[in-house]
Amino acid sequence: MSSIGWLITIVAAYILIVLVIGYLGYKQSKATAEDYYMGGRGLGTLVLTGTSIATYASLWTFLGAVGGNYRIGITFISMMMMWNILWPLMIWFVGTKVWLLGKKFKYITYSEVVNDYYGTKWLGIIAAIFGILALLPYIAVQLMGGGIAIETFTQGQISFAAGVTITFIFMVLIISVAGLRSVVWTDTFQGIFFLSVMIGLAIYALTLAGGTTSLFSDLATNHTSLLIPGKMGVGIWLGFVLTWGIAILLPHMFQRLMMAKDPRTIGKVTIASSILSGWVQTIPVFLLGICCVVLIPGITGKGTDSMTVLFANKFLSPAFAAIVIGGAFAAGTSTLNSQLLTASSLFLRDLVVNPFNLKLKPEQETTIARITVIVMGIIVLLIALGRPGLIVPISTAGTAICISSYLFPLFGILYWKRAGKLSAYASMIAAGVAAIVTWLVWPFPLGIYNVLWGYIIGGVAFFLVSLIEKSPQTAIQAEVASLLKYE
Amino acid sequence: MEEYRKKRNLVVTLVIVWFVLFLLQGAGIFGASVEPVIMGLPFSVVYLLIMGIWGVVNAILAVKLLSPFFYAKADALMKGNDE
Repeated sequence: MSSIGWLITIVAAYILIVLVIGYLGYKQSKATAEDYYMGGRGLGTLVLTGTSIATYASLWTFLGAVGGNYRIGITFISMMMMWNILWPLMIWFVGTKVWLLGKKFKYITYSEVVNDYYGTKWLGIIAAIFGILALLPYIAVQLMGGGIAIETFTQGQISFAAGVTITFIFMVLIISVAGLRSVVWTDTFQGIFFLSVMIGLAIYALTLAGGTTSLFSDLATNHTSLLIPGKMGVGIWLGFVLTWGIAILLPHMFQRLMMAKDPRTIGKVTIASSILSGWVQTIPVFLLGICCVVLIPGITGKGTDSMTVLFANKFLSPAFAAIVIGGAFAAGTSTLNSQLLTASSLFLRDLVVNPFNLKLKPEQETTIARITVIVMGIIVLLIALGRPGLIVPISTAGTAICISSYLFPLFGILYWKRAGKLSAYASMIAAGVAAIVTWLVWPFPLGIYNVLWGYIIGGVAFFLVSLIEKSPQTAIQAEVASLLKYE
Repeated sequence: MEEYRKKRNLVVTLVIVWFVLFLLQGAGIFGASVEPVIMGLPFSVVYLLIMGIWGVVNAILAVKLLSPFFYAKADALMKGNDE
């Protein structure tokens, strides 16, 4: 069978499996917003760990991170391992408190949390806009990754545009019909699948490279710079760490903090995620990237984003290479489905239902949610077809805008009781604008990543204004303070 | 509250020290050399792996030391919701 024949067979089989799992999830779902977006807040350890890891580790990991390790070796893996352990720690330090808030007040989105606490309407609207602005390029990156993988694998016989469109149609089908329950079940399957593929690829690549001793001896002799960290300015390195390490603030990850069925699930997810994300995901990506330096030398720039597929094409049979493409699909779609569903909830609940106090029946809300998913999906498709830059920098910079603007208002709720609505507004707007300006207008001034500028300027605005404005005394704030105080 | 604070401060301190030592490698200041080679691995890679193990230990410690306080609060909340 030809490469395209295997690709169609494997991808069709994969799509069928995911659709079956998705349908089973759909059968269990109820026509309520809480069930459609939050799975009824009843996720156990396996599914919550699976969806968290699979949602977090996207095509970025499968393609972009392998390319990053190929280009700069240990400089890349050191920051990747750090943030892949940091975000599970954040589940424990931040997520436990957010879970309590979600359980008590039935929040679905970040905007609902901040609006309720600070007694605002516009804060949630601004947050939703920043969240959507962050998610749309990130989602586009997943579609791009699907297009790149298919185009590279078929050596251009299926174009990038066709690959992107195939990925889009498949994704919108799952999400628009089934909602969160299907998303988390398919995530768990997809996460196991793509981690297994990545581990298999790394082991095989290491075997071809002659084992660890031979590999590292070769690198030390011929590519020493890949084994010496510090090849990226510390302002950029730290910026990446403090973007992805705090990515639980991204809207789709933030919602997952409120989905655990009980508190003990969160503890188990924290530990499991630190191992799966920090090690099982990270080490194979590193090994594959540096093995490719020896096995497929001389690739530069955007071409390195295709490293995984280039390796598969060169060293695997068409059948196994098609399975690798299936793994790429799994990595991308498990993130894309969560992000698109969350973007839909941000738009519908935070920009339409809540601000205008609309009273929709549950069935109406889920129907409109499905339509929103399709419309947003089309917008993202158009972005992806434009094929902007490298996968890693695009998704990181866009994510940075959201995280830096969300951080301090949440910090105020959890840890800084002096903060009131003015502090929250000041920090969110200042941080978001700073992160946008230091990415698009004056890129990374002084070699400092845009997320750090967002944190610095947002943080200064937050604390200064909190010292000036009157300390809040509302009933809800007192209730939250009591809820979050541990005896 | 006092017991909670002591345990929380211990965990936070460990995480901060871990973070700083990892950052020093990222900046190319510490754990940045290829020599010595340990069991076939360059020192920089060995250092990275040690940081990785320490990070997971931090997560386990954070959960083990602080969970009783969170679980007590959460269980009371869930009981109140059921009633």
